[in-house]
Amino acid sequence: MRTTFHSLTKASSLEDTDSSVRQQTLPKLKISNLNFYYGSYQALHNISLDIAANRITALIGPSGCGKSTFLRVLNRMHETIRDTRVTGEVLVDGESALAMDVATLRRRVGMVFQKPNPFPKSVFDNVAYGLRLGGVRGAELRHAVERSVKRAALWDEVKDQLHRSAYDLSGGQQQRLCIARALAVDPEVLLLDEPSSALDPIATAKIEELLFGLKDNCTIVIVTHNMQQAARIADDTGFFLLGKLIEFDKTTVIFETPARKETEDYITGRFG
Amino acid sequence: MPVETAVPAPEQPGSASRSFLNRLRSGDEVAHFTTLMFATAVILIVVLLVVELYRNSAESQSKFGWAFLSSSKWDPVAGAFGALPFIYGTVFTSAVALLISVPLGLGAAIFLSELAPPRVSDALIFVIELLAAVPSVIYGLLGIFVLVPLLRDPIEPFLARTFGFLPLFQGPAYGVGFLAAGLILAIMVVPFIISLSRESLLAVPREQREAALALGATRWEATWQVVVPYARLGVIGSVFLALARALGETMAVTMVIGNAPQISFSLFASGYSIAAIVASEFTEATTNLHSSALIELGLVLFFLTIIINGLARLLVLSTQRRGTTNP
Repeated sequence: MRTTFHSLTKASSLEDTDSSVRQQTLPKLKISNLNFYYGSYQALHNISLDIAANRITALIGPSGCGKSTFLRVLNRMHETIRDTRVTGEVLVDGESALAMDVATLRRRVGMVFQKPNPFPKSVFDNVAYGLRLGGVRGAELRHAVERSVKRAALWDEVKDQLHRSAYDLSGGQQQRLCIARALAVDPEVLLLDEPSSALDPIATAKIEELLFGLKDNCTIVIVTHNMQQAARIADDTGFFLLGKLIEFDKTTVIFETPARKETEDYITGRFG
Repeated sequence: MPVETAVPAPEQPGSASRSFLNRLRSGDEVAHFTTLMFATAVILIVVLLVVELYRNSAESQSKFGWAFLSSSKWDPVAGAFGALPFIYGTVFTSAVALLISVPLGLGAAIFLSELAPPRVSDALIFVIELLAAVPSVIYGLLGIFVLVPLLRDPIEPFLARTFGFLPLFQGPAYGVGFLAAGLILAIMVVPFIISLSRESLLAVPREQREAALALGATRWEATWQVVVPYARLGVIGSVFLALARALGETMAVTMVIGNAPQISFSLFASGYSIAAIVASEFTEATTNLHSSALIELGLVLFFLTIIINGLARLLVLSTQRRGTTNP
């Protein structure tokens, strides 16, 4: 039954059954034959991948393997870079992401970046930014901000200083603020590009914990350099190498019984 | 041996290395002293400037006192001198210039930094920076031969017909006057605003832009709500520089302002600015009182510039605080 929406899955385990109840037969994101070019340099080669709803999918691989590029294509952030070209298809719930209005796509597929990038505004205004773009005002805005900050597990720390500058927060708090800001517009998918690579272990643990809590309402795709992180939080893991998707499977399979030699070599640290 | 090479030891007895270190150390002191002298010279020049202006305007000060600032009479023959029309002309023309040049300059800077392809942007900015280097007398000629005739015929009569109910657009259209001076100043300062604003817009980290775009902002929303506010200080800095240049501009203004010491609310009326009158009357000043009054005008301009810049800076500080803490 699972193989219909998760073609590469070979094994299924007991812990999946309860979350699979919520899953539709369609994958949340369906990527087929995706190629990506910076000018004449091809950064992604023919990538096909189904990302299931309400799961955390981790993308791992050495630096420059294309995993961040791949992530950016999912909500078309690559379009901010000049001279890039993409072929293939990305479907969000069956709709073409590449043909969709880009603002609509980005509200449905949110993104959190490697370095915390709050605006030089108050904590409140940061979270409210996306909501205000959507025309939310007044009490509704305040409630939505509070809800998002709570979802990002930041509320207890900032509830009394919502009107202070976001720059007064610590790095870990800033990153959770950026997550709250992305969550505020209630995205269906949240893309995270190495969200904790600039943070200490405690701040990292907080982020991982909150990502777990988000799974129920959101599909999460996370790029990480940290293999322990992928092993800890991801349901599925994809391994990228030199712009190709080498292997994609359940995290336990990738880390315990990978099918490909390259994956095993990377996991065991034989190259990097 | 490897330890010794890794950690340079100053007390090593080798004479060559010691003299090198000594040279380096005294070189540091020489550099420190020289740069300190240059830095002090700047302050010294400012102090000297104020002292000299103050000393040489003693006669005018003792004769008119503070009334010099509030009197609007300027009659060298009768020996009556007042600064008000010139202060008014200076501030009015600068205000007109900024009103025109700030939106224009900022708009152009946004285009060059956010929208234009880098190659086009670089080519255009080269031309714009050339404009900043054109001598002001050339702008004055442009004013006299192009701007003033245009103002006299189609523009000012049109403005009078359309907006004539406002005091700003009343009176006969001579061509020369506050509007001509303000326009020529705007043209002169706009390259500064474009060039400096563009640089500070380009310096905004791409993460800021991406954060807004990733939340579904359009390119324009990201630029206007995130990039421009982030670059605010640089943009305002460019406006300061433009203001300073507008307040002190002499040649181009005196060629088109009409050189009449009067206060009028009409943009079409002739006026005078401080820098313009000092330049045009100083060589003809026959009495000591006359030249003393002109020097006092210089002092007034000096303080006017400082006060206006100070006020602008205060404004920035207050908005900065509000910007980070307000809901």
